[in-house]
Amino acid sequence: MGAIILATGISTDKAVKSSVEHAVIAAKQCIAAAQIKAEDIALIINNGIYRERNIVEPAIALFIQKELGINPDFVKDNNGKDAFGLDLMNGGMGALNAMKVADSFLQSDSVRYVLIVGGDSHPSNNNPSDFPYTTAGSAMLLGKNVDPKCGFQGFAFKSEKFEGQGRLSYIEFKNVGSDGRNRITIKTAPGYAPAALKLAGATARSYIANHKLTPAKLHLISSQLDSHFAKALAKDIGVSEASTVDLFGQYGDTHSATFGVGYHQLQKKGLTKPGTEILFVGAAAGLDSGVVHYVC
Amino acid sequence: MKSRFESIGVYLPKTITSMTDRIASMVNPPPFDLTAITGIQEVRTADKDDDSYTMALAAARDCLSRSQYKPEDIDVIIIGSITRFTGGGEVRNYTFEPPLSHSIKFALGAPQAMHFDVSNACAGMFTGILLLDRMIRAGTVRNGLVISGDFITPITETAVKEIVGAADPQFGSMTVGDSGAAVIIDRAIDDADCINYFEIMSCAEYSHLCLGMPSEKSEGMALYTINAEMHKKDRIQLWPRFQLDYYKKNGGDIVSEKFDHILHHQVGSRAISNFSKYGSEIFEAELPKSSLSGVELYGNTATTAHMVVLYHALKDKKIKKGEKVLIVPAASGVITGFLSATFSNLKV
Repeated sequence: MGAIILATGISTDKAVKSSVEHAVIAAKQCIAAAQIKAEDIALIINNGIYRERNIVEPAIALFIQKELGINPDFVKDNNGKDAFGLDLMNGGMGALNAMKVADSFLQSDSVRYVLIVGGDSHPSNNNPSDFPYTTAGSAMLLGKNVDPKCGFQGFAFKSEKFEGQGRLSYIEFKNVGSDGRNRITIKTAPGYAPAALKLAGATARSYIANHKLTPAKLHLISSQLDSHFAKALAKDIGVSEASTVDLFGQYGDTHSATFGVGYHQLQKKGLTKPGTEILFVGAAAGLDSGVVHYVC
Repeated sequence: MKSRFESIGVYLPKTITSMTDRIASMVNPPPFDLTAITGIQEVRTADKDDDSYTMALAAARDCLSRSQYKPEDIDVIIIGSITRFTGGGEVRNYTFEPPLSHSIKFALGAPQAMHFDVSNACAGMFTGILLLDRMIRAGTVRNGLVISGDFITPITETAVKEIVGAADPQFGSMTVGDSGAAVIIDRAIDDADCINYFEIMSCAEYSHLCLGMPSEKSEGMALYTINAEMHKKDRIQLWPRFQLDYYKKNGGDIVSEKFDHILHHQVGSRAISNFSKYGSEIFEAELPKSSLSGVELYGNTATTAHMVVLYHALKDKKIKKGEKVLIVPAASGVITGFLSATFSNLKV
C-alpha cells in the first residue's frame, strides 16, 4: 500500500517573485489544511528547476525546510525527529518522479509524511518576458494509504530523443560575464510542444489500455506546455473536455508546480471525492513523459 | 528486503595537478600552508574534452562493465552531480533542463529506465542511493544506477582569481578535484553483501553556511563556505548523535556493530581525523582505526568522494571479504548520516 494525497497548497500571487517564497507559502497552506505537525514530515522533495541567483548548492529544498521549521537541527530540536530534503530535477516531469519516490518511501514504512513542493522563478527574480514559465508554487502532502484501491495505482515513464532535446536551459558561462547569477538561456526547439504532446498521448494511451481504465471516468491533470496542450491531450486519450484541468488560460505554464496546482483546483471544485479517478500525465524536455492513475 | 552495492565504477581524468602548482597560481597566495592543513598532494583536473556529462558517462560505463546487468536491465538512472556542465571543458554550459540523466540513459543504451537528476551538494550520490534503497525495499524497482560526473574545478579557477585574505569563504574551492563515479544498487541476495542500514538527514538551520552559485566578480561558478561555522564541533557531532539515536530506537551500538573500516567525506586529512575524534567522544567508544582515505591523491571530489575511495579500497584489497564499512556522508545543508554496508563480492 502506497501513498495518498492528504492536502495541497498553492501560491500564485504575482507580487511574489521568489520560488522559495512561493513554495513556502504553498507548503504552509498545505500543512495547515492537512492538520498535521510540520515536524512529522520526514522527506521534502523540491522538484523546482529555476531558482534565485542560480544557486546550485545546497539543495533549494533545504531553504524551504528551514523556512517551514521542519526539524532544522536534530540536536537542538531534541524531539527525536529528523527530516531530509532534496531537489529532484526533471523539468515538468519531476513531480511525477517525486510521487513515485514518495510512494515507495511510504510503502517501505520509512517515513510518515512526504512533502513535494514545486515552483520556478527566473534567477534574477525579475521574470523577464522571454522566461517561458509562470512563477508560482505548489505543495502536496502525501501520507500512507490504508486502502489498496485508493492512492497511486502504478507509474509508467517513457522517453524519446528529440532535436535539441525539445527545450534546453543553461547558464552560458562564456557569455554571461560576472552576471551569471541573473542569467539563464532557454532554447526551445521547433516542434517541441507538439512532439511532447504526441509522446505523452502515446504513453497515456498505452497506460490506459494496460490498466484497463475507462477514459470517460477519468479526470485529467497534465503538463500545460501551451494553451492547447491539456485539451489536445484529453482528446487524444478520450477524456472529456469537462473533466480536463486546463490551467494555461488562468496561469500560463506553471512548470514544476503544475500537478500540485491542478490537484488543488480539482479539490476546490469538490471533484476529489472518494472514488474519483485522476490521470496525471506529464511531458517534459528530453523528451520525457509519465503517467499515473490516482484514485481519491 | 535489503539492497546492496552490486557494482562500482570510477572515471579519473589523466591530468594531475599538484597542490603546489595550484597554490602558486593564486593571485593572492594564503599566509598558511594549505597543503599541510588539507594533506592534499595532488588532484585530478578535467582533460580538455571532459565535462560533467562525459565523466558521468565514463564512470557509468566502467560500472556496467563489471555488473551482471546490461543497460537494458536497469530500472532507474539517477545523476547526483553538483555540476551539470555540458558542451565540453571549454564551453561549460551549466544545464538545468533537461536533466543529464536523460542523455546519459540514451548514451548507455538504457532508454527504458526512469530517469531524473538529484541536487543535494556533496550528498548527491548518497541521495540517489537512499532513493533507490527505499524503492528497492518497497519492491517498486529492482535496481538502479546512481551516477555522478563532477567537473567541480571551475570553482577552483574562480577561487585562485578571487581569494583575498586568510578568512576568504572560497578556500574550500582550493581542495577539489574532478572525477566521475557510479554504483549499481540492487536487491541483496544475502547478508554477505548488503546495505545493513542507511539513514541521512538535512539540518537546514545551517543551509546558508555553504553556497554554490555563479561569481559576481568574474565569469565562472563559485563556492562560498563559512568554514569556521561549517566545521564546528557541534555541526560534526550531529552525525554521531543521529546514529546513537538510531541505535536507541532500533537496538545495537557502535561497538557491537564491529565496523572494520570508516569512510568519511574527503574534505582534508585534518578534518577527516577530527570527524572520527569528535564522533568517538559522543559514542564514548573507539571508532575503526582503519579510516579509508584518498584525499592525498584526489582531493575532495565532491559528490563522488566516498565512492572514489571505496573503489580504490576494493581495488587495493584493503576491504576484505565479509568486512563491514561505516560510511559517513557530509554535505552542505548541513547533511549528515550513516550507511552501514557489508562487502564480500563487490569487485573492482
